[in-house]
Amino acid sequence: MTPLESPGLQRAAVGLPFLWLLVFAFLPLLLIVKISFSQMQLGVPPYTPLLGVNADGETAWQGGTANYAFIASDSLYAKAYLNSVRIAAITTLLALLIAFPMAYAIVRAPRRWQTSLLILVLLPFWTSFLIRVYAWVGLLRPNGLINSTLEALGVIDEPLKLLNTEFAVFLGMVFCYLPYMLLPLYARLEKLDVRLTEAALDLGASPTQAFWRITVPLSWPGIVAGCLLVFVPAVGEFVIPELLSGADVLMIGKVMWSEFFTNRDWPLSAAVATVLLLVLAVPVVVFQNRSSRSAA
Amino acid sequence: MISLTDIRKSFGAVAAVDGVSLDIAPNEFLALLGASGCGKTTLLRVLAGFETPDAGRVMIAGQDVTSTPPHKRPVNLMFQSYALFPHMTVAQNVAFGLKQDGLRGAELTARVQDALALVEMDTLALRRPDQLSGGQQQRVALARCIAKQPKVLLLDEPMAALDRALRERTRLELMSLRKRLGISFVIVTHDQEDAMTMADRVAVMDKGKIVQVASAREVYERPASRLVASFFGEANIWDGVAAHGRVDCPALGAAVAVLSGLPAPGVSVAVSVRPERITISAETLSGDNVLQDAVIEDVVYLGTVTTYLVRVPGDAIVRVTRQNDAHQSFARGNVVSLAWPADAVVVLAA
Repeated sequence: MTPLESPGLQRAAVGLPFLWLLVFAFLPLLLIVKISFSQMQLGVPPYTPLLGVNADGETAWQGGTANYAFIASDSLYAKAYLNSVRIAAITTLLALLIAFPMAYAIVRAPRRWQTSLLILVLLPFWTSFLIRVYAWVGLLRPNGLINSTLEALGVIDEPLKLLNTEFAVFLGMVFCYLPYMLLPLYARLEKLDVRLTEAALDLGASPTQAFWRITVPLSWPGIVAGCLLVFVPAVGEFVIPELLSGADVLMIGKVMWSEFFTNRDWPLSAAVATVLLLVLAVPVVVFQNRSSRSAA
Repeated sequence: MISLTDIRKSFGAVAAVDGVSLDIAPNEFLALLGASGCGKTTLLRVLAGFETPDAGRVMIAGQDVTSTPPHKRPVNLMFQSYALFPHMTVAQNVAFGLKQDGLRGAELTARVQDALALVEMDTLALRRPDQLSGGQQQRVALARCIAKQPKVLLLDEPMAALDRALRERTRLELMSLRKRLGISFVIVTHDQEDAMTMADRVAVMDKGKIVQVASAREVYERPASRLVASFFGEANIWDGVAAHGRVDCPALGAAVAVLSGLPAPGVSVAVSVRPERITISAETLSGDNVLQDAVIEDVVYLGTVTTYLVRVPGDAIVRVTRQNDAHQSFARGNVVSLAWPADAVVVLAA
């Protein structure tokens, strides 16, 4: 019996991470949901208790859905949600289009190169996320490397507006999220038997047909995993749009941040976060249920 | 049907196929036989179109297909691993190739049904490959190939993953399929039994070259080289020096009488005698080649035959197989005589 087979250790191996998630993810989440039903107040904490003492001196329920009603009434929030989902969706698609050929090429590369190529993909992770995004600021700003190079070459007369555009957001998002798309795709494609593609060719399929009818369906779980890993955090992304788009691109992460820190409206911010969670979680759970059922 | 002219294919510095020319007739069953790494699979992949030869020409059904991609060749390859599509049912696997030919609707269904019926897999059409046994997967792979009605069916080690009983049954089925379909079969195998039971001709390969192409019987009885003699069946091979009508073999402590194939006297050669051509007896034998005072060192009982390993006066071990009967058997330590006719001896290059 190896140590991992002993029932006590097994329970600990499964139980400890769950305990961690319970204490540091699930309980804070419940806290946020709870705060979202309160109202802002000046003081510590900056929100009203759900159970409070009213004017008649009785303990009574003081919570309410006013924050949700406010989110529904102000079109700014709907716009921010939609824009976030749109930007995340385009980011996911771009990342997929770039990562799939990359993963395919790495899998097909000679064995001894594969590890080096994967390390190259992961290399940016060795630098702080914030520094990587700041680096793009330096590259994209009006007197940055790209504009000054193009000017020196005489391609352009005046600096292009690169920073503070949607283009800059896509660039930064795809750059930062690419490995999350690439790794699940690589893991899946790596297990794909080359002979299946060869069999398809042998049976009369052109290389394009073999790709769509054999390679894509068999790498589907990798595609789904990669898309979720990119799409979900991209919707709520705050740092990249904040640094690369300024005030020009409206995203829900930025809205949340300004409600929380600028307006110090914790309850409204919590409600925005709760709605975002529902907007993301419900379709993802439904989608995953369906794809795991079709895989079975 | 197939004509290969001076095919060469190297991987880096290794010549996998090194100048192979071979013609395969319509409806012929040809076995490519050889040890692993001899280039037989590469040659099959050249035929299927997965490898482009560095030099040489591939003709199939009168057309030069040397640079034709695999999906446009009138051949189908059954992979050693079967390569069934795991995300499709048995019927969808078989239909895959037919859809590429533009078949749809009732005609498609009928052709899939026919192909599956041919390999007795029609009742499992809706299963997925991972719900099938190895033997069943092999049948589906076969059905997927023959559904396309190729001019040539290529089989890469089709029996490798099957147990012995299933192997024998599959051999018989392949032979009957070949009769019914009337197409050429090229099978790659390292198993001489596959080659002997099924093939019209056997091409023995070594180091990227074909060393002998002939019927299984001729390859067995008249091997072209030492390698063929030892690879295809079992053989006693002794080194010696050619003389007039005989070869002097020091290991046997005797001269071996030979009918034909002798080079000039004094040339180093080897002689080969199949174990079943040697007579073993407790009495003194007479004939072309007789060895007296041989001692049985080991007895291997194999059911229908027994193999005796016999040490002869020259100190060589001679392998003798004898059909088992009720009358006589020998034990370790018995002193026996060995004899074999001169026509059982094949002279090989040293």
